Amino acid sequence: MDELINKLKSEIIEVLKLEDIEHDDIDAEAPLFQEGLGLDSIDALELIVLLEKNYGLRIEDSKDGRKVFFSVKSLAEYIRLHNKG
Amino acid sequence: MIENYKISNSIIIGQNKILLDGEAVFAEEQDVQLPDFLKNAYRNFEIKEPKFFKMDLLCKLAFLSAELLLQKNNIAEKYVKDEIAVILSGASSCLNIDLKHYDSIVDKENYFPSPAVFVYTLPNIMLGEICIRHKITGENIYFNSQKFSPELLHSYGIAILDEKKASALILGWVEVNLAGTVFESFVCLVENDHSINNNNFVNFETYNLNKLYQNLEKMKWTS
Amino acid sequence: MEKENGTSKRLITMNESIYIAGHNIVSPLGLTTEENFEKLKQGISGLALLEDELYSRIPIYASKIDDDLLDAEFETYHNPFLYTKFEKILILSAKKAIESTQININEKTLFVISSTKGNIELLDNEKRNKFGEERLQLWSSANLIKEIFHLQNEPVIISNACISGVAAIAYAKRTLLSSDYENAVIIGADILTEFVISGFQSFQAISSSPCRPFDADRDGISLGEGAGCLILTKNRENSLKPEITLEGCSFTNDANHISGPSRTGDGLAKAIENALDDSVNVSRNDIDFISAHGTATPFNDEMEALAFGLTNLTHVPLNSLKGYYGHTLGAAGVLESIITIETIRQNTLIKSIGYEKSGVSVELSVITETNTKTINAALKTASGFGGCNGALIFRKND
Repeated sequence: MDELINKLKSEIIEVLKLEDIEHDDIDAEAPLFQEGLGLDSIDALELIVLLEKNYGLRIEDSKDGRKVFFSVKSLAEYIRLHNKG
Repeated sequence: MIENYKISNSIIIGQNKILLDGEAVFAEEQDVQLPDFLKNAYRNFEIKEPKFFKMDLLCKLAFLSAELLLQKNNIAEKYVKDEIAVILSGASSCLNIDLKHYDSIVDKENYFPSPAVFVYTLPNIMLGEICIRHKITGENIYFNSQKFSPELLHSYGIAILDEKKASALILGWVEVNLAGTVFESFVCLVENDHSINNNNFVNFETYNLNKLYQNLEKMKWTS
Repeated sequence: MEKENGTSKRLITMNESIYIAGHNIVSPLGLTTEENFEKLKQGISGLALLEDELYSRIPIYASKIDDDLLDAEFETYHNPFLYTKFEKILILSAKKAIESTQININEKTLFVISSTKGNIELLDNEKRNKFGEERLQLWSSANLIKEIFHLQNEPVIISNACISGVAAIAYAKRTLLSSDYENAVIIGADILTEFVISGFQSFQAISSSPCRPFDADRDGISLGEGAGCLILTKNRENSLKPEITLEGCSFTNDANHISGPSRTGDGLAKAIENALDDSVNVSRNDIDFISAHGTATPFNDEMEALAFGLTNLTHVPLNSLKGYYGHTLGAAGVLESIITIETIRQNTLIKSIGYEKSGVSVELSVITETNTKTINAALKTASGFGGCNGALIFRKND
């Protein structure tokens, strides 16, 4: 699980171009939106693309995304749950 | 009464150099590519805008141009924010980022259009980034032309200043070619005579716009 | 065409009237404005299910011009095989608009082109090989128009997201009033492309059914293609009858987010207020009709409703044309302004198709049945990516 969380942190930094954020700056349990990293609506849509591209998982509605993308940890749990491989 | 307007500040970015009001303020070696040049300039001037890294090359170049100008002369504080107009132009529109979006959809086996890329596939987004950064709410327009056209920018700038649609302008030319290898920017601040104390500023005229723009051409020969 | 010489020869003729001399629309609803307006009166929409992998991986509702019909008409002017679809609709709408007026095209005619993506389909290698790399550039379309209409001056190109058309009309008016130009030909055009469709799909912004502006069940935009050409003149004898004038124009920026509409509507409200202030002959109470932007995204329509609330215009009959044309991007501001002008001239309010129940927090007067009513002045609004907003006011001059 930790390995997946670390991988996700790197991917998030890369995909969302969070150039001034270090790996260790991201608290896996902290909210990604509103506070924490303060991501916005475009970032949310990018995370949906990331999930599909890197993990083959599709979120049809960005509203469902809110729960999945709440934090890095919730995202990792979602991936774990849906990826049987 | 015919008002008189002055070009109070100008910036030239090209050939990996930045000239602010004629003074060289930053330079990189010729072999540094545009993405790194922009990033290094951003860090050099200690600009704090995390969203900078999300921008495409055109927006980064426009943002940097406006940022350095306003660091020197913050017209966003001097004027009512909805009376500042942003008038920019370019030749290649945003073709550089357009190509990136196209590449994300051309291969049907690897089809992943990205909203963070697509949002930049409009040349006026650079106006938006400048407005957001400096909270400018006035008019904003992007003209596309094959070459820098001082007549076009001057005649429109004068028209909206005279009609009191704006009290100050951020005006110029920001260009990144399709390949992202050739870039240049000439942006200036235009203000009403009465707001400025400096008699050394040149008049806002086509001739002066062109003269300042020619510094970009000169830079090509001195590189 | 400016007065060179900086200091004392600037022409400021702000009180001069700008008349509408003529116009034309090329769209799935017809190749003339008359055909288009007739279809609107009959409640016929150009939106249809598009199942074509060249445009989209999944079927979507879109408004697409029939290529054969377009080519058959275009052939009466030029060889259709030598031009891209974008160029064909750009040229055709201008030709037909000019033909419908008495205007002489000469050095006192300003041409303005409004488009968001122009010939973007030429990013495709095969198409680029056929038409040449240069045609990918927006300015090449200006060169083309210059050549075809034998112009002495360079057409001006404005590319400002979805307010391009409104900005182009405002630019033309201001330039007419501050120069020797007598007439302005403003052409707005954009085509349907996989480029744009895929982008909006990545935003999850495309609706699952024909779009429903201001409706409670709206879930996104439908895209469309088209061209509109509007001709403005300073010469009253060249005006359409009844005479319609272009009054105030304004555009603003939300300074909030590059893609998300403002949550307050302040930016658009300011554009509307400025346009009203800019109108010598029209006050708020004179506005009889609003042609809204109404793209049918949850946020855009809500933002617009707030803006109409802030400007006390909620009682004014309002529609969005996106349910008929889809969102035509760079063409929208011009095409929809033309329909606004005809709404005034024909005193006919067109039903806002796709609307059944209000889905915005401010109660608006959305037109639910096409009907006749005396219209003296109208407001056209637009908003776009980059946080831009635009407003134009048209008036019947009697």
